[in-house]
Amino acid sequence: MKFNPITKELFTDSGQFIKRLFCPYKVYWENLLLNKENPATRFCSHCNHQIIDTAMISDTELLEVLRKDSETCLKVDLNQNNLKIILNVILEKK
Amino acid sequence: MSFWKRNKNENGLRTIKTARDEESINLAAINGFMPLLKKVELSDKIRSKYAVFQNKKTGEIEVGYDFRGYDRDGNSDYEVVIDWTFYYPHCFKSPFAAYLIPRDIMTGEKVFLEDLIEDLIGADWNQGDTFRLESCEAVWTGKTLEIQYDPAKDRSSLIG
Repeated sequence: MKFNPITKELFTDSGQFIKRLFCPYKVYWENLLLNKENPATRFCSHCNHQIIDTAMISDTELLEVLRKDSETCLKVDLNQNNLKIILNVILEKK
Repeated sequence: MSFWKRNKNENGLRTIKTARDEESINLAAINGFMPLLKKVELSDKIRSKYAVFQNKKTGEIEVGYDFRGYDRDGNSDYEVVIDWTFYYPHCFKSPFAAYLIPRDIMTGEKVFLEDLIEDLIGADWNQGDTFRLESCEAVWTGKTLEIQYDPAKDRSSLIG
């Protein structure tokens, strides 16, 4: 997958838009509750749902999850092996 | 629509908006807000990198932002025409901006700044890039906003 850390937009390797990340609660992965049955997810008590670690899921699986629930939260680490950083807009004008 | 309007305010704190030009600052003042003016000061600690590769046959280019995935052994059709270069990746339309403070704000009230004026590092990457923090909590002291930024909590993982 591809990620733009300035716009926080996540795409598949083929360029299909997945989601723009935004967490108003500023939660940290380390503070979320572990899911022993599925290490690719953790539980967020603010939103009362699972957050998926995108390092442990394929583009296809991720698209399917987001298709079923577009509000699904994701975790992206800039150093994860299945991620390539992109910056499509060089200068973002505010 | 400006960038900050794309974000939804879903937390419990009151949101403080930012105006980034004279017209919108004055409009807010007319509508009862007290604009808290700040200089837009660009930090040299915020930086992204890029390199440009050009196809030796067609002239087409490809821009890279990630060291990973770019062939440098010379066997590719592409050659480096601009080597990896760091730059400041944002452009603000005005050299000043203002947090729009509601008149009924209480001293000690914690608020949510959804469009930070200050350049603070929100994430860093082990390839040398550092990314700007977009929003942050702050406390109103009665005169100014005390940003609740803790560098110790900076991390590269983003959730949303």
